[in-house]
Amino acid sequence: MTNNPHSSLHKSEAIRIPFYRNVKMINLLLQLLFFLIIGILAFWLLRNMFSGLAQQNLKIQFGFMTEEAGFSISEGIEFSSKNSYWKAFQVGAVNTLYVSVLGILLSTVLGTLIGVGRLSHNFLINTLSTAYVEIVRNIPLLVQLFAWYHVVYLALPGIRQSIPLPGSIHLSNRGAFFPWWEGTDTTRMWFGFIGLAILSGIGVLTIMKRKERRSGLPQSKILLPLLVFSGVSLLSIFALPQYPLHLSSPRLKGFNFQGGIHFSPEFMGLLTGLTIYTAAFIAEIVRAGILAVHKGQGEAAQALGLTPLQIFRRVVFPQALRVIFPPLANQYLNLTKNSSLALVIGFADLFQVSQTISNQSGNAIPIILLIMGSYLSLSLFISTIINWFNTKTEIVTR
Amino acid sequence: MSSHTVSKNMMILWLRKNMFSSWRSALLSLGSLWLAYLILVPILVFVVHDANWEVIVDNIHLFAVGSYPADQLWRVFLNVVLLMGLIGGTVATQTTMGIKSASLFMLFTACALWIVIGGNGSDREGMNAINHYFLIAGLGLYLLGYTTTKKKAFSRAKVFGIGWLLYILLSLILLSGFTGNSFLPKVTNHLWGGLLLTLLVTVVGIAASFPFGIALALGRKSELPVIKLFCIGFIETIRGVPLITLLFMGQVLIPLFLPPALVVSNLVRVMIAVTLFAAAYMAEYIRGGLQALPIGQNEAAQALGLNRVQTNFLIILPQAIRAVIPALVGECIALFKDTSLVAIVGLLDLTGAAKAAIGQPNFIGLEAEVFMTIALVYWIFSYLMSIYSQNLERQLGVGIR
Repeated sequence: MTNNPHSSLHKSEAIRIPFYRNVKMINLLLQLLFFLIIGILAFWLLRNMFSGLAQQNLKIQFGFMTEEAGFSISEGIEFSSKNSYWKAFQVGAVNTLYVSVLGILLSTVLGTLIGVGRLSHNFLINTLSTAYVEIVRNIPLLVQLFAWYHVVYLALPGIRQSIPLPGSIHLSNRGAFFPWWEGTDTTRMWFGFIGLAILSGIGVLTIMKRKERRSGLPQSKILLPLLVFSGVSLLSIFALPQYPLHLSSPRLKGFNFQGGIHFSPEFMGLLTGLTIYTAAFIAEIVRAGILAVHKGQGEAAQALGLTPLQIFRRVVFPQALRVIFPPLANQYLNLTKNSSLALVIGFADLFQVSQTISNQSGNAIPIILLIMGSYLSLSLFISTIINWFNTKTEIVTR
Repeated sequence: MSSHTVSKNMMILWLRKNMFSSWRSALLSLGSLWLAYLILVPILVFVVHDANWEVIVDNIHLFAVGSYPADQLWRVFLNVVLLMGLIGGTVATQTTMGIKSASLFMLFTACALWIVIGGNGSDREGMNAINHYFLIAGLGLYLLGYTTTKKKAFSRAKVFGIGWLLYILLSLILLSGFTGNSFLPKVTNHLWGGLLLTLLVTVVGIAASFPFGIALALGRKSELPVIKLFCIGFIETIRGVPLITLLFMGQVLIPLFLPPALVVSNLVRVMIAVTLFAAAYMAEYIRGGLQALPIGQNEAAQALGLNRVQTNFLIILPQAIRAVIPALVGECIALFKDTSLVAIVGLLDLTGAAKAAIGQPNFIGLEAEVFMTIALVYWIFSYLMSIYSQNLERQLGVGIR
């Protein structure tokens, strides 16, 4: 009875702790205080805002977005001044995605090359890569964009004296003209064949997987399905009565180029600037990622008799990727956000178009909300991918 | 064999080892040599021969200090001189920085500051000589700061923390002055510009965002759900949008949020936006440091009877921040570069000055010269900071396990 260990506890609980020393109470009060301060501040700011807006006869609503835009956009999806503000916003958003995706692809390639170059034993390659990184990442992107646009792309010769580059690419102060494929009558049929090729590739893959499971011998499952896929899709070209794609090269006709694909100097300036700038950061990430893989890993793989290619593909690369991917995805996010600097060189991206809408309609606050919403959802999307990747590649520990 | 041929042989050996070790390496070497030739030669020819640097010389005042009145320039110069002393002392706290790097640092700093000091340009005769006195005084103060700190006369970290804060306050007072004062007449901040403004926005942004970032980081790690949610929302919202959005929000919303009687200048609005932006990033870095800290530190502090505030400020934060100092310096470099965006909302910082200069009718078509110059200026400052940060990293031993 008396040696019941709980009895003394009950006794001490009976002595009531004053509320100002009770941790739970303090926490609750602290939060309440914080909430009150923030609330009062927000209330004051918003009240000022609404009274100010009322004086200017403005309301926060999105109805104006369906009105006629009254300005035109030459970039991206076809858009005329008769279309609505909503449509303009969409055009800007698509342009942002377009330049971001291209920039991400190009900067990854360039950044990886330079990152590997920084690890090279070749003195010249090493020095040049280091110089590239140290010069590019220490100059503001804005200055670089200005320079690419004003000093490089706008300073190119006029359309009639355009600079031809190998592969019938033409550069002039009206932008870059690249050759591009155009569909013909048989394109649709060919797409059908490509679908067939994908199916047969998957078929081969499943057969190989089943075989692997039965025999227990691991083997590379990439090469053969890929071979089957490309074989079917390429051979089908010859089965068709006409080539499914026709390469159209830009040709000077009168005052402009016909055929091919055209990129405006604004687009080229933005893409070049973003690519060059982000590649410098990606190079550092790639370098750090490769250096982070312990030397012993490669040596151990060598001792096990793996070929150099196998060592890179099976041992070094997967481990480096674990280090590389999160900051790399962050750089992709940065590139996407940095594409908003398109404003300064007049490329019609999400931000620039929104800015125009804001000036045109006088509805600044709804536009700010829209811009923030768009960029936030992009960020959320990319960080979801990062988290998914992290959980997937996490080292399993105790 | 003469020493000449030996060194020649050494060179050939070196070349063979570092550039032509295999046919692939040789091919790469030749390829990159060709690439370097293609890029560097036109630039060199342009810089030496084709460029018209008059646009820089004529606008040096604009690039350095914007529209700061010429007869009040001594205030800027005095600021610069004090700054050099402070930098000298701070560099001396870097024990891993040898005397060679320190002098290199001084040279670079002097170069950078000479650009600011050159700010009177053709405005007033006789000022040039005074400028040189200022430059010499700056170098002297740098050395003084360096040597006295090297002698370990005082607890260094604290002194320099306080020193930098005092300097920021002093320089703001010195630059803006007082209305009606004959010695320090008021210079309204829309006249500030050029490199001066760039540095000012950076320094104020760093100083103001640091405590704010600490508070946000602690809030995000807090057990109190209301505070935690607020901090997460704040940090993620700001990190999710481009800085330029925040700058425009500052332009549009701050005047709306405040009562009509309270008018804030463009510079202040920009500084608020930059501070909020930098704080969110600082908070994430500091949070990284907090997470890296073993939980035992917290428990040990509690066992010793420290309360929450004491635990955070005496035990947790000093260790957490120390672990992420290199990342924080990296953030400072990023902030310095990001200040170029203030030109978009109409401030006349270094980039804004460049835009103004190429818009002048007598300097049409000189964009290359202007952008090259400001790129060089930005580069010098960023590179200095990155050297400093690499040194810090070595000194703190972060990353070496």
